[in-house]
Amino acid sequence: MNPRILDCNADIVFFPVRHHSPTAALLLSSLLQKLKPAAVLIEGPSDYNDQLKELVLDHQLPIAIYSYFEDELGERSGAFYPFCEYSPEWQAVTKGQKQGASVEFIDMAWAELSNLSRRRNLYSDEDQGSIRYISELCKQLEVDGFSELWDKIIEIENPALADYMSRVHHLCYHMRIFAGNDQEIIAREDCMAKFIRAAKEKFSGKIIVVTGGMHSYALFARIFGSDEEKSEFTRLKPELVPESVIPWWLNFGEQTAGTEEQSSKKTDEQVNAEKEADARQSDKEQNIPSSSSSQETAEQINADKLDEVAGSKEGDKEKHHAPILKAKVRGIALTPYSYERLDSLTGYESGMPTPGFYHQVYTDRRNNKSESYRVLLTKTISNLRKKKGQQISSADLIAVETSACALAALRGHKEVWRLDLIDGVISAILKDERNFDIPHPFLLAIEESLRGDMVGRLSDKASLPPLVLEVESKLRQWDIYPQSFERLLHLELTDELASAQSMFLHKLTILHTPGVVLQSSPLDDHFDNIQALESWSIQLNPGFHAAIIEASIYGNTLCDAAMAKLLELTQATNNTASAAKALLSACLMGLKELAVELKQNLLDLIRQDSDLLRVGSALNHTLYLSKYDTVLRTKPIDSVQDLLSAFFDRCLWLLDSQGASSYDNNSIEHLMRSLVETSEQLKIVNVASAEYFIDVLKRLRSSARTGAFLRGAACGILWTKDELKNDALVDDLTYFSNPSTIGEFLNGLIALAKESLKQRDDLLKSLDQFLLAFSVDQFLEALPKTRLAFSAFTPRERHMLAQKILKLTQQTNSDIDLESDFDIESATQMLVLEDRIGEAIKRYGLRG
Amino acid sequence: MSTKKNTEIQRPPAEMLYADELKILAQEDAKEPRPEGWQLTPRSVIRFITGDKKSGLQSKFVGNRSFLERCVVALATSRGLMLIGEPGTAKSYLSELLAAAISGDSTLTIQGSGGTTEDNIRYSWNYAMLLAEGPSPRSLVPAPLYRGMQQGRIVRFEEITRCPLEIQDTLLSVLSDRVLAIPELPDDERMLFAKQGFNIIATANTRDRGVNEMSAALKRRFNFETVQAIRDINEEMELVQRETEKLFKRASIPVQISPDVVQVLVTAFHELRNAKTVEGQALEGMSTVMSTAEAISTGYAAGLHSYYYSTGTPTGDHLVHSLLGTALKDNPDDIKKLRHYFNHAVRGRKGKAWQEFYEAHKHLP
Repeated sequence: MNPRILDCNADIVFFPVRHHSPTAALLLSSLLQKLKPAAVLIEGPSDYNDQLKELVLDHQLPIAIYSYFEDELGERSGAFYPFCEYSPEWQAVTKGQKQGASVEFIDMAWAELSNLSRRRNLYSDEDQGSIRYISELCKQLEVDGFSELWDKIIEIENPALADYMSRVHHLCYHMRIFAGNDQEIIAREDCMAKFIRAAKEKFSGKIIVVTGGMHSYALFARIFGSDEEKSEFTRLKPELVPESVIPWWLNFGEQTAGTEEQSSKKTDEQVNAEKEADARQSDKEQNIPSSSSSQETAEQINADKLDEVAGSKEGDKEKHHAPILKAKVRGIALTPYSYERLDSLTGYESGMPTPGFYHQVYTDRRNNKSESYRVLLTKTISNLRKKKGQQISSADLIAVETSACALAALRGHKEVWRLDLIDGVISAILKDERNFDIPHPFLLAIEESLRGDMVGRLSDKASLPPLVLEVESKLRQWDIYPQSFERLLHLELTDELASAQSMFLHKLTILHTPGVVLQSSPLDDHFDNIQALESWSIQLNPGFHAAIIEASIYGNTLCDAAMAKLLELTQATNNTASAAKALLSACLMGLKELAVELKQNLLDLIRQDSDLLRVGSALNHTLYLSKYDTVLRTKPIDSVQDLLSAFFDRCLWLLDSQGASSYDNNSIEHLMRSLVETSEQLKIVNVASAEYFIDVLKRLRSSARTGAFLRGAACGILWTKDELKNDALVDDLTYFSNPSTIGEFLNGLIALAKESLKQRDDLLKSLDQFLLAFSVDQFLEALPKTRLAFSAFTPRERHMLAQKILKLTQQTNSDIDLESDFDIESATQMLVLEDRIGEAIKRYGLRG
Repeated sequence: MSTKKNTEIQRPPAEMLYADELKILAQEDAKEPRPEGWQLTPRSVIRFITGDKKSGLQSKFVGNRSFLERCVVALATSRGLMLIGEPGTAKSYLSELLAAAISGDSTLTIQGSGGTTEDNIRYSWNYAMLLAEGPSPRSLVPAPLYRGMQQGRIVRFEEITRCPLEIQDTLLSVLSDRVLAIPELPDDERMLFAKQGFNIIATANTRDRGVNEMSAALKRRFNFETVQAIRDINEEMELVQRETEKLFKRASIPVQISPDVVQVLVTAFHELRNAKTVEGQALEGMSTVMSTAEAISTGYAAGLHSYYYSTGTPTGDHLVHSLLGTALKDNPDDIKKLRHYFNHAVRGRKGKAWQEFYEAHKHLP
């Protein structure tokens, strides 16, 4: 590595950072103060440069730049560049602008990068390529991963500037070598180098280049390096990690390096090696062939290995630049972010774990305070005590702190760090066996405290994507803008304004806008009790703006966005139930064109789906549509009758060919009800289907394979449609009259034809006879299901049935007393008894 | 005992087996500060356990580093250490290693059982002498706890939850006040104050009687650490290979168990233990533990079998024979599960060792 890169007074200073590093942020901030550079170049989306001034408005951090686009093929992707108080990039932007420097982002725009990149957070650690190097290093430093490694050598040590530069450049130089000729990295570095060169031409003053440490040296080499140095970064990544690449400062446990003074404690050998490297470097610069030496530096060995692996240098020239597709929709805007999303423990590649912890460290260090852990420990304990209701005594607190301090000492940490704290709590408070697949609630509480709960808010002056403006103006126009308290909105869908509002809110819901919730709709009523009324709850949620800004990826107007989102959802699943649901959603949102398209899609899908319940649920959605089409404005689909017929036929075919033995009674009941409902709807327009229905039911009834419940249901439907001979019902009951099936059959029958039992005396009488013929054990076996079947009747109906039985069996009221009232006392006693039984059942966990 | 040769002892304790390593470490960190009464520094204790190729230290225990750090810190901050976990996760071995590294002596061990009495834990009397001379330090027979406190050493309490509650609670005052009262002795000798370096490592098994069988008061005085089964199958293979070789060497049997066979053995144990094949398909979980320790003993038994009754090269056939004793204990369903495992997971796997293993499933009862 060329030592020139370590020079903090050079014309171009390459300042290496880890995104979201308090130490880097503080050092960079003071370096900017000292150097007063003419230009500050930062790794960030260069297509945001025009709007850069907006970044320094009075936002509340954390916020992120959100860049999104849709290419010609309809592929959408978006990426975040999150900023918090302790992000070095944030310091660079704000301090740079304050000092009047020219501040510029120099990375590729997301639209160009996205087909090369696998990441969605451009400020996450990019160590994929260098995993082997990092794991070797972790072993040497006795840590478990990159975050701990970085903490150990940078954050905890809190080195001075020169030491920081040396440590980070050494570390990142090797990381970069081991990332090899990764297409994404090379393309980005090409872009960044271009900006640096342009700035070099343009500005006479000093320039600071703030990039992820991994790019720093590669950029330096491109601008100032020899050909060989440049080529170092376009080779294949090496297979092996030679021990010699572990730089001198990694003998760290013994050296406790930290200050420039201490860093001079290098062994003679190391000093010689470095001197020689420097000498060779200056030789190279003057084009003097280097003298051969027996003592090779780490870098040279490394480079040799690289050559071996790469085979020939020509072989490497195939590299980068996959074709870049043209963007159809493209945008870049600020969006509120939160520490919860930033926390890599919960988010997707979101960067740094426990941002709350680092925030505390940053704040304390800026105010020259130490022992940040104390504040967080107090917070964790009070979180455990108040929110989780745990009893944590002062003695426990002392034990946690002692353990944390001892762990820090053992790990060579100068102060108690986040893992020491977490381990301290595990060690001193957890008294259970830990199941490593399920996080312990205590640990969740700690992580929550260390994560922090900061939520960003954009300045009112920040420009927002058109989608947000549209949504906001509509919300204000209708006076339904979310407030901090919950508002309930009741919409009578027959009213035109209410209907428009409903469609608008449905669109917001499909875009996952937090705080907008549909509480009840006519859908819940399930065919009875028809009321075209929707209730919505609207309340301001911290994620409200972020969700809408991020939904811009789907389109610039609410209609476009909702439509694109719905299409995406439909394409993800290819079954009738979800497609029918999508059609229903499209109608609820009033998306006419899409509804037509989805209907066609659904018709195509019907023949492919052979899951009875799924088709049944699709039938249900369609039925809903057909029943409420005036309210739901499905007129564009003309009529859903054809759809309904298609589903009806498909259901019947599946029922006929497969039966329904593998489904539970509840599902069968729903399905049969939908079928009956549909057959009523279709009676006039489609006689053939209605007849087919009767045929299928008859076949089901006569098949020995049909289960008792379904057969009961089939009998019931046939009876209500007058398709059964007089004594056929009694025959069926007789067929199922053994104790294990009688209840099931009655369940099915009563569920679909309550009246049958009320009207057919012979049926009731036979039932009575069967039940009386049971022995005690048989009766007990049959009791639960039979009782369940009769629960479909109201108490009055049951009373009527009882009287009827008395009459049929020619008994009088005096034989069994049905009439006389209970006195209040016995009624109360019964209630008390019932309560006690209920409690006992609950105590033994017999009922949910 | 120390004069006996290692080889004469069936199972030498860790401090004897690794005496050289302990010596190297003691020399290396002779000047470093350490907790009072400790033979090594906390860092060296961890190095002793995790091993360090450069210094010629063997790796003895596979586990997450921060877990080990927490264990050592618990002992350094004078809290008792309670190791809990499934059987066969090397809890006892870890406690032995810790005791050997910290005190240079892992033999102060109390074995918990239903029949453990206070006498086994604290002290008892030489009754002849007691009758002749009355109570005196001479007539007192020290048990491990007494000796640990007196000499400032780590005391190991194995399977603590197997002891009745009131016996476990003997430890209460010892752990909090670090003092043991011997009311029979004259005033000036009545209190035994623990010397620096004394502490307790207890182990408990979560399979049969869990840590719930323990008073809250005693729980408070221990730091609990759950010992995990080895997650990384490659690490487990390395360990099984190494340990079986060690056992063969100790038994002076010239048998080599080939890496292919070890792979079959460890994969089978790993899959049956986690009820999931390495390809990610679900399996029926066995009622037996299928621990790494059992994998080692299965490998060892297969080796012995092949040496004494066969060609001397352990194959899948020998593995199945030895596996039966380990996997099939009292639950009759396990045999079905094992058969299912052979038919669904093992069958069709490529490689000679796997095929031999599958062929041998005919030995299943």
